[in-house]
Amino acid sequence: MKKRTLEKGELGFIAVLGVFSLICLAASARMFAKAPTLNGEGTVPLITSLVLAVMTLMMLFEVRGFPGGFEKGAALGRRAKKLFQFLFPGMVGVIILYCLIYAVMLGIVGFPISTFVFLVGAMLTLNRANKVRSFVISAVTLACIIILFQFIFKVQLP
Amino acid sequence: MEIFGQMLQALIDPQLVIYLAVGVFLGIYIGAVPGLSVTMAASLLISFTYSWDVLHSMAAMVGIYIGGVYGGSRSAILLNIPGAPAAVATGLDGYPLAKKGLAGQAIGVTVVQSVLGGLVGTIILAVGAPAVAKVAITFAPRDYFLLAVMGLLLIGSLGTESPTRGVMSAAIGIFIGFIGIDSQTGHMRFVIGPSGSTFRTYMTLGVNYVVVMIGLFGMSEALIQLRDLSVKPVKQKVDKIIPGWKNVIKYLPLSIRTSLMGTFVGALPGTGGDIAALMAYDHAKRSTKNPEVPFGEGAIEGLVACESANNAAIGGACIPMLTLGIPGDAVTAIMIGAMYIHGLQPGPLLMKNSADVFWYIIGAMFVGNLFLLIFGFTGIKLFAKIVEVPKYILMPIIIILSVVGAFSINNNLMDVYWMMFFGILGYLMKLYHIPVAPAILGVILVDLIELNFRRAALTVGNSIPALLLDLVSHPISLILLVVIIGMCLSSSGALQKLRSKKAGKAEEN
Repeated sequence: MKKRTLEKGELGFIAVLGVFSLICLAASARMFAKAPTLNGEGTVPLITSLVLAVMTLMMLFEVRGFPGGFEKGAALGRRAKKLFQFLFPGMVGVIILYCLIYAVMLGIVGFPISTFVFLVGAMLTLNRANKVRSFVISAVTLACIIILFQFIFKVQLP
Repeated sequence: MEIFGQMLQALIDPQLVIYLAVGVFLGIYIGAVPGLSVTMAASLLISFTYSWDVLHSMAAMVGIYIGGVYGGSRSAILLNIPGAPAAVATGLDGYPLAKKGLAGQAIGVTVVQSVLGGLVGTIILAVGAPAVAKVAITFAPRDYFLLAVMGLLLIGSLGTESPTRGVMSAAIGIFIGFIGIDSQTGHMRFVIGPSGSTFRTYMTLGVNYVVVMIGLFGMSEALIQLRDLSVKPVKQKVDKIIPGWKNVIKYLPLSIRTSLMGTFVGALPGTGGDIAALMAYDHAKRSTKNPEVPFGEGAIEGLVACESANNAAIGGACIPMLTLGIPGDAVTAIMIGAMYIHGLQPGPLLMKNSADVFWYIIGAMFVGNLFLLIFGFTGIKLFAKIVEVPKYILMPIIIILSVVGAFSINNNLMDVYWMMFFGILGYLMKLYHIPVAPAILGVILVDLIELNFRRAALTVGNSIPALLLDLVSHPISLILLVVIIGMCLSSSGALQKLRSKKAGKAEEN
């Protein structure tokens, strides 16, 4: 593996994967203990979670000595701010938030309204210059999706 | 002569030709729309075919199958959302080509290679169906298990930075595949949430791999693209879509090798175009010494290998379907259903009792591939324009298509929520240099791995020494085992170290 600067939060992400692999390992071991045979329901999960844990360790081993993504000696608050800026630059965080709201709204107001609002909102958030264009494109896209999926291919929409 | 006449029916009966042509055309465009899969198209079609003549319904099915498998590559190239699992490997080099403005060229290559692969698969189906079927049925559960492990190691080699990250991603995918009711014991595994909740009920049924695929590829790619809105869309070159003869001949040895590989893998029941394409991609990566462009950055060899293999797998998948009555993949399972509806008995007696249908299907596959060559080149300019749409318009639309695609699987909003979860997970994985393709293939391969491991263990009385002995005492298993060990050594870099040591000693001498 070529040496590079670690991304901000990369070690943290590997640590999260490590915790995940340990949880999987514990759950699999418990499952295996109930039926400790080679063809038992816990055997393959146990092997897989062992692979997960070993790979996490190997990933940590591979990135040892790589220069860190944060400035040396930076305060925790500053690191958290930098991490947030790295994870959600520009409008990414806002769009993820829109997606989550959209998913909830789908079940409440239905597909046509929530999709139109999401499309217009996302397009205007990403580019405020073309308001009319965003409205028209959103309406046309929605109409195309409904015609194609619902009427031509008979696919049920949310 | 009689056989030839039955195959020729695909060419001379105008009605059958029309059904086949329409099937191929629709298959291409259905497969190209993210969220609409060839399996879904075939299952929708079956409801129309009740009242049709058997050959007409087979014509439409074969057409949809051929067109749909190819069509899946278009969305993989243009949007990095594979239209089908078989197109996962296509996106690895196809999408980088589209980013460079070469989407038209990439689609052109996929058309020609799909046709070549399809024809090789069909020839093998016609000539060697009974022989290939005989070999395929000698595969024991332990061999399927080893084959799946081989798939996992191939996944490792797809990792952009190191095999460790590829295998890590695959293991995450396999774990996702464990969620739900264990098919052998009926016990729930890794199911969480309050008793009686919708969340828990959903988890009991397991997470659909298409949901994982749409989330990790489609949604996450849209989020990644939104990180930098200042990048202007690349103008696509669509003047040279049809690859020249020189190029076709240049890659012919590779496409024949990968087509043969695809046909054989496709003939193994339970496998399909996805594993075939993956193996072919790995083969191309290992056998191409000096690619003009590195693999993963737009190597034509990568496109050639996976596209010829996944279309050749269609012919392969039809071998167990027609000769043994065992589906090679999901679409052939639907085709078997269609055959039963029409009173046919797919299996060893099909060739004897309904030879006309058997040979017509083979003839239709030949002609269907020729239609693919014609229709495959249509709409490329229009499709290539998709990549030129400004990001602020395209990315929200991709998110909507991902939502519709996820919902359409089970008409369940919970699929949409999970798709979004996988979208955000994929976004983080991409940010931290962990490839997402192995995770998807892990979810797809999990059944093949686990069921066959457990069956293999059961056949040797759950004894580890007996299982190991079983693996080394059967020729097919031994070959697969040797290949796996070789792959492990080459992935770990042990072979390279040994070679460099030898080279160092030789220099000293």
